[in-house]
Amino acid sequence: MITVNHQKILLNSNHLLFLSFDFYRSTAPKESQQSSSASDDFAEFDDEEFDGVASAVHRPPAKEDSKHDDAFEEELADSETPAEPSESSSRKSDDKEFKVFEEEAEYDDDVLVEEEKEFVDPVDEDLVPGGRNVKKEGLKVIDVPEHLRSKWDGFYLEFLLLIGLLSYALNFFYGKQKNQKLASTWLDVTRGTLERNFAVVGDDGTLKEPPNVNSDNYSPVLMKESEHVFSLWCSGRVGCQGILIDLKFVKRQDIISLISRMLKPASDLMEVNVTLEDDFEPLIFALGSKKVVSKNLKELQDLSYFCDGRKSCDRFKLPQYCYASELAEAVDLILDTELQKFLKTYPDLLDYMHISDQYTGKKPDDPNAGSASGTTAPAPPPTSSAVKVLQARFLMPKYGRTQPEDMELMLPCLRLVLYFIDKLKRLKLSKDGKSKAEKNRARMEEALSKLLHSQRQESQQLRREERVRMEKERLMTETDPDKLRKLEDAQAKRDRKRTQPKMKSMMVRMK
Amino acid sequence: MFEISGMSSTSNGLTSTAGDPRRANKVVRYRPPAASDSSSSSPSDDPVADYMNLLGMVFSMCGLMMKLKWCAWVAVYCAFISFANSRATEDSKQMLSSFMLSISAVVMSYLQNPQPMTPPWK
Repeated sequence: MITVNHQKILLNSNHLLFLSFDFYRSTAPKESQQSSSASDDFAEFDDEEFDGVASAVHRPPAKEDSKHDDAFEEELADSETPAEPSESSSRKSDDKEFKVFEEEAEYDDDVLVEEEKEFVDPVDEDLVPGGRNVKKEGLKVIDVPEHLRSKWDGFYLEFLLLIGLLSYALNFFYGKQKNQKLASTWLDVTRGTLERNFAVVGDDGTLKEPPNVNSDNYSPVLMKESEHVFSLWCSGRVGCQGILIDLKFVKRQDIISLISRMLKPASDLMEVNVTLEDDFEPLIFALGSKKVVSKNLKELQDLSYFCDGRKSCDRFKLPQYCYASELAEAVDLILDTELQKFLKTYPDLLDYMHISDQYTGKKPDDPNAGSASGTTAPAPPPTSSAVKVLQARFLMPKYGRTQPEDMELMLPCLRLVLYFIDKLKRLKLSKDGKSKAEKNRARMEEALSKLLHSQRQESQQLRREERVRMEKERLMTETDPDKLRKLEDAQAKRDRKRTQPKMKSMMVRMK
Repeated sequence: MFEISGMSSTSNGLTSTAGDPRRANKVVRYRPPAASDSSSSSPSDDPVADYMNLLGMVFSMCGLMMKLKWCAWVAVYCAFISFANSRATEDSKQMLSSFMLSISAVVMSYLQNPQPMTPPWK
């Protein structure tokens, strides 16, 4: 009996296994019968005792029932039918155990279902080709992020950006090349005139010997400040120390500036800065379009200090130009027939011209400078840094769409500058004019010295106050009475010394 | 060609005084304006390159720290614009480093999140 019971225990545990496997199979479609080969694995468990159970296991499912409880109960019911009468008593006990198992099975239903799910797919895929479609009902589909390599269609923004970068790079190279071509064409056009007027053309300051026109290894250097700015320095001529010509082209290499130029057109510029010689007459004069002259009157220190205001060139029949001058006679001297002829022949070339012997650049941005001196007048330019200059700015034609052949028009502009260099060397003001100019400069120097003096006094006062404050702090913080006494004595001595010199000088006088 | 009446009697255009105006003994060597005058206007003439350089670095850091792809792309554009507007005297190492930083920001943001960039209107 014991052995029978032992066998029964074994049998019961194996029942559970068989039942669970049969449970899985019963939920699958009819094709699962093909997995009968799997049942061969369990052939070793085939025995008389297992006949009832085996019949329950091998019996095909009566109906395709998704309800696992019903299938399981059916099997249980089937298994309860006795195969042989001799086994009835054992069957009864088995029934009880089956019931227990049934309860456990019910309890483990969810587990079985979950376990079934673990095993369903691989089994189902083998047996049921369209098995997945059955499972998709009621499933929630979540968007899975696309892998980098799977689809390129989604990256259209990135492709657009890359195309933008490529176009920027292409435009950069094209614009750079165009600007360089314009600069080299300009040099070819003006080189002859410059070489006839200057001993050194195209000096960049790095060579040991400057590129002399008459030397064998002469080669002018057009300095490249950036992709759109080129400079040329020439020297060795009467009337000036040197001439710096800046070619400031529009930024053809930058797409952003290209777009901004569509909104606001800008021209290529040729800026000429001539450093005049020291024997130049005291003269301050500016000529240009209304906007430019007004702006420079506000910004440039010498113009704002010495010139009264902007005046129109209507009497010269040049309505689009204005001038600002320190002396009235200088206007007629500068705006002579040649300049008027040039302005009428080439109306849009000259943008601005400035002649000054007190040029110091723009006014400083320090707002405290005026308040410190207590006056609202602009601060006078310091004479130490003033230079004598002739500055001219010419606009290249076609508003930024300059072509290499347009560089020919820059030649008369350059000749105008050379003409003025010679004219200013010969220029002589009248006595009245010169005396007035000298007075203005003396007044300016005086104002400057006063300003400097007041600034020096203020700084001295500040230093003195700071020193007194420091001494007081030391007195307050000093705890040692001896040291304190010493400090007080020293301070009293210093105060006496300060008041003493006045007394001394008086005593000397009386003697 | 227009004419002038200077001391010279020639009338075939602008001419200077009679004789050769060149003086080899009055040669003055070129001095770069930044070296001679500290308050020169050339550094402040075109601040675009400096602003774009700074912006590029800021956008690169934003793209790297906050994993924003569009920041990284804008940084690349800023680096390009800064390079295009830079002066010849500027250090090329700084340009190169800002380029490398922006490209690394783009690469890192895509490595961390391989999804394509979504436009703001979606």
